Amino acid sequence: MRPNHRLAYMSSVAVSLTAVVAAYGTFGAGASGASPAGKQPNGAYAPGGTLQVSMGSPPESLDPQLGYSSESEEADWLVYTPLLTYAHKSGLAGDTVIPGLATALPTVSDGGLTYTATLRKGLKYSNGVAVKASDFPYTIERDLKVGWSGDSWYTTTIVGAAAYQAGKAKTISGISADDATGQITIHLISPYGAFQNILAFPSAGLVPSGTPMTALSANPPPGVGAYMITKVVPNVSFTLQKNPLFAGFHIPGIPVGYVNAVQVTIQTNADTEAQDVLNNTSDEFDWGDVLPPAYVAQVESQAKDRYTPETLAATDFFWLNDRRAPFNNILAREAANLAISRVALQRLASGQITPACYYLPPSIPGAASGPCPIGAPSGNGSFSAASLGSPADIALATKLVTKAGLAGTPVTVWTEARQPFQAFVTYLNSQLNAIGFKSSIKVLSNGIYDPTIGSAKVNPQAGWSEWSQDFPNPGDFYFVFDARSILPENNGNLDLVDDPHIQSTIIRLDKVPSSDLPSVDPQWSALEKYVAGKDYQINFGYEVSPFFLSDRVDFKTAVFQPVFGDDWSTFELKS
Amino acid sequence: MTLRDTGTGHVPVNESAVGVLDVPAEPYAAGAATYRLALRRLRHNHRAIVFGSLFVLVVVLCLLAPVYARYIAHTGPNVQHITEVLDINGKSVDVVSLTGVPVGPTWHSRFFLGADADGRDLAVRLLYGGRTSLAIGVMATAITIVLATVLGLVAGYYGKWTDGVISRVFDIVWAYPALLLAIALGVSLATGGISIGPVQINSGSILIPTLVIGIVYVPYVARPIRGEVLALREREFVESARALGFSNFRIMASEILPNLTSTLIVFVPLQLAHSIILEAALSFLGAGVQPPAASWGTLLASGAPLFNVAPYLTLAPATMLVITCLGINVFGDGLREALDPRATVRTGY
Repeated sequence: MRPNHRLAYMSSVAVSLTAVVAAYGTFGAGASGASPAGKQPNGAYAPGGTLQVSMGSPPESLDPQLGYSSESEEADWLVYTPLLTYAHKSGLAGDTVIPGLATALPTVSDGGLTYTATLRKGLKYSNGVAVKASDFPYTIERDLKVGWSGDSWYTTTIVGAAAYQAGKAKTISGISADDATGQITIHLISPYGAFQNILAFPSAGLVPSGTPMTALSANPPPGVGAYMITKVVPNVSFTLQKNPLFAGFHIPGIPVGYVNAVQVTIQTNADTEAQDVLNNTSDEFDWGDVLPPAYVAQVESQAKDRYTPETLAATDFFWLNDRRAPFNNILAREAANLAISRVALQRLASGQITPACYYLPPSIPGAASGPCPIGAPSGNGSFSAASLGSPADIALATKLVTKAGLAGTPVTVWTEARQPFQAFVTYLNSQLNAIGFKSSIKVLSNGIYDPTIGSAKVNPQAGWSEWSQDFPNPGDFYFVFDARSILPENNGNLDLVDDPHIQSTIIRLDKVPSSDLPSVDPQWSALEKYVAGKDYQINFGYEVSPFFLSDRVDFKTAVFQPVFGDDWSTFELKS
Repeated sequence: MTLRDTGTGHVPVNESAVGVLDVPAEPYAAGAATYRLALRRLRHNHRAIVFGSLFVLVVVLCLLAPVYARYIAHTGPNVQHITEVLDINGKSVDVVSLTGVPVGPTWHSRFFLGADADGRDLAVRLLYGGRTSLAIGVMATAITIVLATVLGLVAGYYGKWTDGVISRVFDIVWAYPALLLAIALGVSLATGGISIGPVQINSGSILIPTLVIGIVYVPYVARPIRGEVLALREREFVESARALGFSNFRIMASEILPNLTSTLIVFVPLQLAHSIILEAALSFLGAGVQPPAASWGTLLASGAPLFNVAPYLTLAPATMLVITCLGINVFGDGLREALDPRATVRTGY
């Protein structure tokens, strides 16, 4: 039986205040706002100062059991460390899952059905309350009660999670925890290879037992991390302060942070955001935003030593409804794929996508490379992503449409109003008309786009979408081709693909543990080529994000983490 | 039999602060002679003629858009040339650069004014966009004038509860700023289209912004009309018509309406300019003309984010918009002065 949750939480708030006051006394002049004193003898900059961050959109919520957007996770993963987390490193190294609050990666037994981990000793939340193993099941339960939008990751994998969420059980039967030994055991419904990644979601970042089972967006609960959230002005700003207790835990691979505080301000105007970073009045351009075309050249020339475009594990594509004319005909899909110049779309995105024809981004295990097997079944051959959409391709596409007897078939292509997505679909519309379809555009406001195209009643024909990784695993990406994702509302498989070969392969490969993914690389690659050959959708680019910092930040040591973006805990202020 | 108001002039009609048509009680000659005199006055108003001609020039240029596109630019308004390369002074220049910046004005027949961010010929889209903006302006003005005249006439003539109901509806519409109301209607209708019984209008049709603009301006024109009708219905010639047993419809159609003509003529250019500007505003905000169709508002919207590096994308449609509305307004002023040199028109848009 658990203690009185609410009382436990209230007392933790009191302890929190005491701990913060004590910490400030200890750190003295090094507290928020104090500037670092230049380089130390070891070449590093002295810790301290306040990082000024511009964020293009407000976080969905800073409550870890509610926030699922990239803005939420960017902050939360530094505040709420889960049992497992990701390496604070750039590039592929950053995709590695490392122990967080667990002493080591979990042991897997029972043919992949049981995961066992042990909690580190001596951990405390930022409010000074000791961390217990039983906080882990409580945290997952809170995820399900508060309404984290990724809740299906837990309900579809952990025994008893769905029953708990439905109110049929008081606890999650598949999770047990021993506070005395720190041992945590999780039983899965069926083997799921990416379960370590599930445990590394910031939403699995531990919070104290007794934290209210309600949204705490304006006053997020304490966590275990390099920083703690001290002030939230919803939709305006929030502040992270260094957690004075964290350095004492000595968790390998997790930085304790250099700056004393991170002051995040919501700046929805990307032009202002770019200008501020150029002028060094803000330290970071939100990596989730697109650098405005008007500033790309200026940033590339004036700030080349503090700007790099980072290719993300996110794919932009046009989905094609494979159950409705004309795209229920493979020749129509092949023609559409041929007619789209990936380079043209790259320019419409101000260069901020990398042209592509395969679905999996290069950083994801199993990503395919080489010529694009578009139209493989009809034997039209292989193509280069950089040259597709040439006049010859358009001519071939037009022939295919005519051959299929689909010339003049009406098509409505859907997009949301934001740029560059609207420009992408305007181009798709233009190309579909060029090869013989009778295409028109439907533009929806941003808020209603996803629910509208995800409704079976609307049954849309084609449009733009993207898939941004939840975690670096091909199985996560193949959600969009999984027949189980086809739903009457909030449909995740917009192509409406139900291909037995794809389905059986996904089910088989999903069981392979993340650590063994290299062993099945060729199988995922083969699936990629199969999907590209079937032309189920038009993959056209991998998103590129601006890693753009002010002159105040040491760009050489700052980390762009591939899963969570700008890693503030690695940012050092020069002055 | 038609009774004309050839008498002692109009009683000053002073409506609310929103729409006022103050006409001094000065005798004037109505009917054919009035218009001949007005035309003579207009011909001598050189400023009005010059600006009116400017407007006509814009209309003619826009009407010739297909000719320009086909025989000079050799491209259509929606054809994208994103990856094409131009030879400018011996240098190869991308129509749209890798960073998304389009080519500026050139001496080539295609891309004479440059390209937009989607690689389309700006001059072609400017002319086609003008056709759309003018068409919407003209149609919306027609809707506004017709509805406002009918409703203002009925409300003013019948008075009592008829006037009460119509006037309250006007008040409700008036309570919303025209732009906000138009945005609300435009966004909702642009998403789902219109489907009322046999009337089906697709969401992308320019009839939607046309209807929205035409309707939101009705109270602004109908209120002054109603005020004028309130005064006219008390006049002797109307009483005479009643005494002769004319039906209400006949009195309204043949006695009162002809006396509203000069007011309506003055309103038309004013309303046309307002409609064109509102169309531009709606399209700029994404609630008007839907892509890929061009209008001056959509051109402004697509050019604005690139103003730093490609100001011509914004300046070109803005210039056309200014020339057109200035032309209409100055000509409208001239027309008003010609119809009644002493009248002052104040509108409360």
